[in-house]
Amino acid sequence: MATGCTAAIYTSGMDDVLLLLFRGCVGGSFVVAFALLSEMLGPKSFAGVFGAAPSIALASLLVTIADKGEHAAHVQSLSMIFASFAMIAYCATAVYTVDHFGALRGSVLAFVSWGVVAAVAYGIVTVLG
Amino acid sequence: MGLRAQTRDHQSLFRRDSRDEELSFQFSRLRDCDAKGLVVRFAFGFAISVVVGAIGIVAGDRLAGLFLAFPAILPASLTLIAKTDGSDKAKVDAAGASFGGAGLAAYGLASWCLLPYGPPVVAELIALLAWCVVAIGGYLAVRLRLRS
Repeated sequence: MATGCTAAIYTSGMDDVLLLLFRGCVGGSFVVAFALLSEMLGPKSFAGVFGAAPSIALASLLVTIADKGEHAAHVQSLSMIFASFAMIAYCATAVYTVDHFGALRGSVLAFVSWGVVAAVAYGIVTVLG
Repeated sequence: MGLRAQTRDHQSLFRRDSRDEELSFQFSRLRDCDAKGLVVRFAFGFAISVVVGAIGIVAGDRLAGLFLAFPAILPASLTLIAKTDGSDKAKVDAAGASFGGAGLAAYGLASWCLLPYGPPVVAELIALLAWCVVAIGGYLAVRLRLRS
């Protein structure tokens, strides 16, 4: 019985890993698709709009719906609404940090503002239950 | 330079970019597209999607949902743009991305409202449409105001 249980856990773990890899491939492909679309657009400010395209959201929610059902995707969507303010905070901060610290360090530093606003967003979502 | 002066400077950069250049869509631009840059973006997209999935398994969907609005490809994009077009263009790109960020709120809201009531794929497509309306519509509205 113990062997059967171990086998079940192992199979479930393998399924999770395969699903994560599939999720990664779908997410990566969507990101590249939106990046290609953005490359074809001008001016840069308009192309930039697609830098915050819902590529990860679309890929993740579709896989989540297929894997866990609508309820899980519904919960994730609520978190996403509040986390989008963190994304706006990231963009606004990046304009300044890229100016001061250069593109690489500036874009990494801007994650601090994403983290702070996302933490507040998580608090709100938790309270909303 | 003070924060107010910097903000004015960034506003004029954005104004110049969106006022002086016409909106355009050209397939030929793909010829200049760096394959290495696309690989980097795929890697970022892959990694963050796996992280979202792993967080969903370990810590629940509420926390995983936060990462659906994670700036996964922006750091790579900004770095690549700064390298090829200069840091002014990278700043303008980041400013444009804030419209996309606002669109993400519309995407999440549409998805949250529609998922319990209709076919999930249709709900996601309508949510994508909501993103387009808010992100692209918001950008065009600001651009129109700057040009008038």
